[in-house]
Amino acid sequence: MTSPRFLLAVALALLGGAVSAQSLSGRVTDAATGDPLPGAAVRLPTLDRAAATDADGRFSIPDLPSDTATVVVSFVGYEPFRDVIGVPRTVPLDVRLAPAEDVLDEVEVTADEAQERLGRDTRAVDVLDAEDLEELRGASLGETLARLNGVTSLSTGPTIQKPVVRGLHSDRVLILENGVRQEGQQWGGEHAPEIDPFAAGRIEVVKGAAGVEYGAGAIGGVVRIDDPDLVFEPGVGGDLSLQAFSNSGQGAGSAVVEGASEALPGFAWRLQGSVRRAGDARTPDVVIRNSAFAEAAGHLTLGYRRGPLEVDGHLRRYTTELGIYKGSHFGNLRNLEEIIARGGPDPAWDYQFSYEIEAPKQAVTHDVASLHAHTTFGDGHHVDAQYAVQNNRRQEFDAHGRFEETPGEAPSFDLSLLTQSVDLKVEPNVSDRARLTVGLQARTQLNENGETGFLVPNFRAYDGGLFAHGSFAATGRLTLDAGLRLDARTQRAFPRDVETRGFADVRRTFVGGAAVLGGLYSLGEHWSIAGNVGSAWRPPNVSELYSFGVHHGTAQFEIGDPDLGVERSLDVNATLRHESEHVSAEVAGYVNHVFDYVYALEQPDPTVTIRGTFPTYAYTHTDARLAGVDAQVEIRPLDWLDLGARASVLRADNLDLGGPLYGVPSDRFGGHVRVEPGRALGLDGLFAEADVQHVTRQDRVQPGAYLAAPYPPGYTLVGLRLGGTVDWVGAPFRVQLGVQNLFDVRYRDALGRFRYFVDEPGRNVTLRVAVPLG
Amino acid sequence: MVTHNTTRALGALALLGALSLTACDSGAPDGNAGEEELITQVTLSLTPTSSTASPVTIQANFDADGTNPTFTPTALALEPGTTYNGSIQLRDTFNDDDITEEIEEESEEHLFRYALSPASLGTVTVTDSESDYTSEDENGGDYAVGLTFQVTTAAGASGTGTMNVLLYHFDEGPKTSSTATSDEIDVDVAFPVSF
Repeated sequence: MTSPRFLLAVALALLGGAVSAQSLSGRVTDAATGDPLPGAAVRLPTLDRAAATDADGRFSIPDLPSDTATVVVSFVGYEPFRDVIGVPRTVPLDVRLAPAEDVLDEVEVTADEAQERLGRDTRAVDVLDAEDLEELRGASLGETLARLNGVTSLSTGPTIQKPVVRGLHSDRVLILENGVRQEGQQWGGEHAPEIDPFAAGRIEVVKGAAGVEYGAGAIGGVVRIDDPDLVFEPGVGGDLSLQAFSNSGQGAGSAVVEGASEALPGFAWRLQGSVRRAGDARTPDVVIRNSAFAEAAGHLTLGYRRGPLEVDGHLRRYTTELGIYKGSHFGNLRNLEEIIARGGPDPAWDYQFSYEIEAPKQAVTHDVASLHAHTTFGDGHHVDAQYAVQNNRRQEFDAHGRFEETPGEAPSFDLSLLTQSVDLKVEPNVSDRARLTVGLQARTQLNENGETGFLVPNFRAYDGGLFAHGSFAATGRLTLDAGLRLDARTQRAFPRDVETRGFADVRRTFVGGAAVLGGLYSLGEHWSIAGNVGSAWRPPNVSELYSFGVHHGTAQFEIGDPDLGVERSLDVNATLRHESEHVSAEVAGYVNHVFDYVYALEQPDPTVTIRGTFPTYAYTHTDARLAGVDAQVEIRPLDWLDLGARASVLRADNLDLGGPLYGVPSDRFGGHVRVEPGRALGLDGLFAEADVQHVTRQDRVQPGAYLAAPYPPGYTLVGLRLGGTVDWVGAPFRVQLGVQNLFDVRYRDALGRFRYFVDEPGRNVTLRVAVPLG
Repeated sequence: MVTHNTTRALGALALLGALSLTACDSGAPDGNAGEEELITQVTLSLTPTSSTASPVTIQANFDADGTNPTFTPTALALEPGTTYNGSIQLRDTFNDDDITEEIEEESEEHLFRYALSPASLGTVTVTDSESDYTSEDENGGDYAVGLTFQVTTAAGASGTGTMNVLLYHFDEGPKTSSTATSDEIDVDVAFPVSF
């Protein structure tokens, strides 16, 4: 392995790091299985120094004085390790932690999490762990992520929600499920991610450009959804959870069964299934007609371990059928003006609550099969390979069928997108102080329209990417992060020729690069500051290139630009973190400059069609700047009391036109009070929480922009939750009762695509129950 | 040993990937993929009830995507103080479909509205109803359809204006009155008129 050492030498030269004489390094593993424990906290309290272990369980704390020091190693669910050692130390400190006999030790958990958060990333990264996710079960991915500061939701009625990270969404935010990049028709604002968040054990949102690690598209951020690790100890276990929601009459449930057999050592399996069924949602005044949905998902995971080899395979299917609010589907601008003037649903409907899903509706099925292998060889070098094939089938049914058809029978659009991808990553063990990852990705996509309707052109595309990314512990306090990437996409598309109704054949190739340079500086045990300059790019999607027609629900005529080039971003951000016994805080500021940001700009002349006159939007590009601050603080003045506050402020500008950029969320401020009397009384898990969120009115409007109606006013929502564990028939039932929109507030959101037609849902009482199986 | 196994596993994976990357078709659409509902031609034919004026027609032709109307002739030439019996025909000229027939068959789901603009130019009334066509009278009421109509121009009408034609589609099922509207407008065309 001479080349990695050579690369390290180059990296050292580039980064100009100083090598110190005294350092402490080693590895933290599980005493029973020998598995590495990533994220374990290694602390030298007497020297006020600390570090967290990496993915391989390794840590390194350089720049230490020659001394004797107490070392404390701790990790959630394990007995902490404590010893007095001498520095310098000639052999690595290898610590084997034994699983804790009892449930989690509260103090050590806090210390672990604090170290993990302080050293998390040079970017702002937010995590929803298993506990957070349990409190949100039964919600869609978009709703789940909107819990995070700096993440909002772009909604198309109660049934469709997609995440907006720091003002960017759709093709500008990547979603990875168990390491596989989700590939659907994500260009559409009314196309929700085809992901079932029930299965997730952890969701991580990387805020800001992350093009080096994740490739084309990671301009606004990355959402990583990971299942819990498989359990290889022989036995069978599981979990059952059920939820009920009053507003839409939604019932949801999920079951997980997992296990490993003594007869087949090294093998483990998990089967997870979930269903959600909801009727029409209700605003404080009316039933939102046709907002019912039905969703089902299943996920089979198989794992195999032998020595350093780890292989896991996934089969996943997600299927949903969802209604689109009846009143959002209309003919032309004349209809839209009539609907806005009316202010709500058609009074003639006299509509009653129902579980029926009628047209307009969407039916989406997403299938994924993936195989992932990881191994370690030689002196701790890692190889990671993954193959995935996924098929996305999206059918959209208009309210209005063709003349000879009944609505809802034949889809108006029937798209299928088949994606195959190969990822290969190598992590040579270059040094205890440096980590280097070199990787390549290859991908092919085939998009086809069915016999009815023609939404975006058929196309075939090939993508390839190559990257190198490294981090380097320059000193005990400073970690540097640097990487480079090159991607290319070549695409052959068959857009419809509007004159002849025949098909053209257009080949285009897009090339883009990405880079990252960042640093994380630890200011002792309680503070850290991180900064990062990152870039990412994306090729224009087929809808931006070749759209031509009316977009239903917005009464806009949209025209693509087949000559659009790539979009590139340069994101500069800084994050200050604080963790102490009573306070956790994070303040992150960012400026994301997007060059050639692609958007649809209103044209001076409307388009006259046989269906009437439509305001016309043509895809074009501008330089855009999104700058903002996300801040949050949590204070624990008493053992049983948490107080939190958060703010998310964004200013987005269209630099070519001068003035605000269209379609970004308005500012948000919130707070919560959480009481855990159980902690004081020595009981486990009992809590009560109240939270409030205020969303300001979006008053930054592009001068001269066409809005069918002014932006809706600001609003404030209050929620309550109460939960605990109840022992019943010998099993611990985790029960949670909640109320969203407690005061039944009427509101609409500036990013809601139905803001012209109907209010958002009113009060919603939720009940969640979960119980371990076996 | 382990390294050997690993190499083999990775080799198999790479081979699988390579195979699947090469085994593919171009994605070219075949035949008529994605054909949508289309109306590209709307014709108004007006015949005066008195013999002093002559019959007139106007045709609006649209591109295959439904945009860019051209009118032949450029305006409908009407006489003031005259009553015309009118009819409307809709065609999909690309697939050579007569849409008028389809509207007759589903007359309970369609309703035309006509108006002269400015309103001082005259009035238009619909003269047919669902029972004039073969379709079932599903709603129990025999409501207007509007494939035929009557135009009465004002005695003092002069200059230019438009004759607006709207086609409401009741995808909810049948319409419930002769003046009903829906949020689905299939046709919304302003024909130029001159006197």
